[in-house]
Amino acid sequence: MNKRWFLFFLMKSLSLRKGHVVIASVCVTLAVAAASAMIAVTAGVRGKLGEELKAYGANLIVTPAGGGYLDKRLVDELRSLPDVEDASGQILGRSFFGQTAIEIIGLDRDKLRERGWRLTGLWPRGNGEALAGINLKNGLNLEIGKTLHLESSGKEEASARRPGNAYTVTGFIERGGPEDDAVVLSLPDAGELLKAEDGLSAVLVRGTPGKLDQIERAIRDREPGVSARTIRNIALPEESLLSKIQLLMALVTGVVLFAAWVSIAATMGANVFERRAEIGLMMALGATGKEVARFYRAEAALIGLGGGLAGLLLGVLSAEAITNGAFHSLVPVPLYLPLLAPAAGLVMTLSASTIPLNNALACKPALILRGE
Amino acid sequence: MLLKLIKNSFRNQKKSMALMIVSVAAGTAVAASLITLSLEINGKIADELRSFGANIVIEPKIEGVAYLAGQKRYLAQDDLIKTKTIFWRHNIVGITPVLETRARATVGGVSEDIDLIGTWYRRELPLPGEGKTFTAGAVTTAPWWALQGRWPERADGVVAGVSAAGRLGIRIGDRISIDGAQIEVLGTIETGGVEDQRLFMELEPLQHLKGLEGKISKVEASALTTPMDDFAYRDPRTMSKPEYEKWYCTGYVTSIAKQLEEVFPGSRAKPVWQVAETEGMVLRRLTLLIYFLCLISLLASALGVSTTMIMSMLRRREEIALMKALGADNLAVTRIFLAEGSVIGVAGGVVGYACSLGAVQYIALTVFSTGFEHRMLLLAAAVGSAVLISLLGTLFPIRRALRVKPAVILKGF
Repeated sequence: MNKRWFLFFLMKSLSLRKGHVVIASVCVTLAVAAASAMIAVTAGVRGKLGEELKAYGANLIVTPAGGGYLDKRLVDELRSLPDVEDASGQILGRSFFGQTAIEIIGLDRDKLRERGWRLTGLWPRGNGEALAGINLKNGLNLEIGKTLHLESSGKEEASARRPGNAYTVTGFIERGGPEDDAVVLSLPDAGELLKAEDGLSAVLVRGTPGKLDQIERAIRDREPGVSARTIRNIALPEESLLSKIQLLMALVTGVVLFAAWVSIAATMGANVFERRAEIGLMMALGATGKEVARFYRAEAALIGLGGGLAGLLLGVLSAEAITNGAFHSLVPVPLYLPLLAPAAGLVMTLSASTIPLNNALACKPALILRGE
Repeated sequence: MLLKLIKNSFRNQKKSMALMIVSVAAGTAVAASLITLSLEINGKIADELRSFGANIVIEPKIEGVAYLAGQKRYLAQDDLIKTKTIFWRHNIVGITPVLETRARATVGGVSEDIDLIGTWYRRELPLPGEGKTFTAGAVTTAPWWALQGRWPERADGVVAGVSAAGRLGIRIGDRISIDGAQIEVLGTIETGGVEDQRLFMELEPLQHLKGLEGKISKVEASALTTPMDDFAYRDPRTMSKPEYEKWYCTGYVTSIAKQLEEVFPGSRAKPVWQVAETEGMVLRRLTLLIYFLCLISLLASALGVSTTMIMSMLRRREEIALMKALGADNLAVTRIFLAEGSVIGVAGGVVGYACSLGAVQYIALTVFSTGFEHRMLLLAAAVGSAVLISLLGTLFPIRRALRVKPAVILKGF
């Protein structure tokens, strides 16, 4: 059979049996779509979930190794390290309200708007404004709008108060931790009150889960005089959750892939079964087994390729729809997927039609044509 | 007659029928696996998220002058067990009493004031009114603690936080003086938080040492909760009576906190918002993700099964034509093929469900180290939908085949 005849037969076979080809292609498309959607979501789930887990807070803390304060520039330096998602400075210290010692937390107050801080009142807008821990509300009889006088040491005379030490309370925060007993100030305010100048007590670092050891090592190599520690109560459960979800998704993907293959195999099998008479006729007219096999493989390959491409498109669309629905953001499509999906379609259709084809070829044409 | 026809049809076309059954089974297996998964996933992930530690803290309420004077108040340790009698008792999966004190530690001639914490590491508590026990202590509310050496179970002994141990030069086996008493160091603990700079003892010996028998300064609780929604954020004091009841009887972190607060007189229970809110969000998103994936896979497997059925039926147009030529009416033909479709559906459904049981158990054991519950209802649903889908897959091609004239089909067009 020469090439032109081969192509002619192929085209005729596809166009005369449009319905069958469409059904087989639809089956391949659906199977590949389900599989590629699963693969795309599995590949992206770690990143998406990592974003969500960010709300648990920092997973590394950098403190001065030998007491004292850290340089303010360290925050930017840490931010520029690989796998570091965010870093923010904190000043911690103690001040006095009359004779009562009160913990002071100085931090970048934009961070407060993240989850985990419950606020009654308003977010502070500038320096000179303070948020008080919810326990202080009843403890110190504070109210929103009232002025809070804080001194850096308990012994200082009332007359020695500087104007910078009076803060307007704009709201109360509740977090469920030691912050509920503290006053939250802006970084410059806290630095001034605690005489930390431009220093920081600690830098909280949010690193990509699973990369914390590398970050810790990088910090140790680059910044002498600081110590970096993993915040275990965040880092450990986070990593364990991420790897479990990833494993879950991978296993489910495996199940879906297997079922997709079975479903394609069944359809392609039915396709060849149906055409045993045709195969018998071809062989009776003098076609060799090899030629017949080539013909049907080419047909299966076309269906597999077409279905694979359509399935890729449908699969990526559904993966995006799914992640958009669940995480309100899109998932990046893995680069290998556009190659993998049509290839998988091809391999699945070809492997699925091999057994029924061999069966059909093994029969004698006369028997098949007689309908046995 | 019908039975005989179907029997023959299966016997004469074993391979084709097997193909259809396998296809239905594969579709059912995926569907049943994913449905089981989506039914169980919420609970499993909620359990998993509890490893982020306590989400409710109960402290003594202390206000006004007492607060200003730095007065200390305590909760009663005896009330601890009552936490397992509240409405949401089964949701309390971890609870740890904590006594915070300061003590003078002397190590190698150097004295220092240091925070000394009394708590439980692992303690089996008898459940009130039941013959069972439940586990309390740091292992339930702070599972990330890494203990080296051993914890002094119901006995004297100190465990040093790693930073404190490093600073004071304490090693396991040393004897250190705490408030004048000689106590052996049994272990070190790494918590990754401020606790690393503290010393730990078993709760009761510390109470005895400090003369604070039966007193604790706070309780950390880990509870399985319903994610917070807009309703849950409302102030319970502004709710009407039915609203309050609905709030109280929903497992929000705030309502469970309220119930725990009622257990300890003079206390204030607060959610650890960072943990509680993130947990709710992650749980909601992950569950949603699994639901969506299930939906897509369900659709794909249903359509996949239908295409196989259609493909197989198309081939039997000649058979239909022959039947009609021999005098069968449309109804009789349809009945035969629908009966055949049902047999395929039932067989495929049962096989598929059995496969899904294995697959789902394997997944659950691999990922979560616990199995999933079997649900007999799901078997009925699986077989039912398998039959439905195979019937739909049969009906469509039959209707097409019935429309044509027998003579035309038999001629081979």
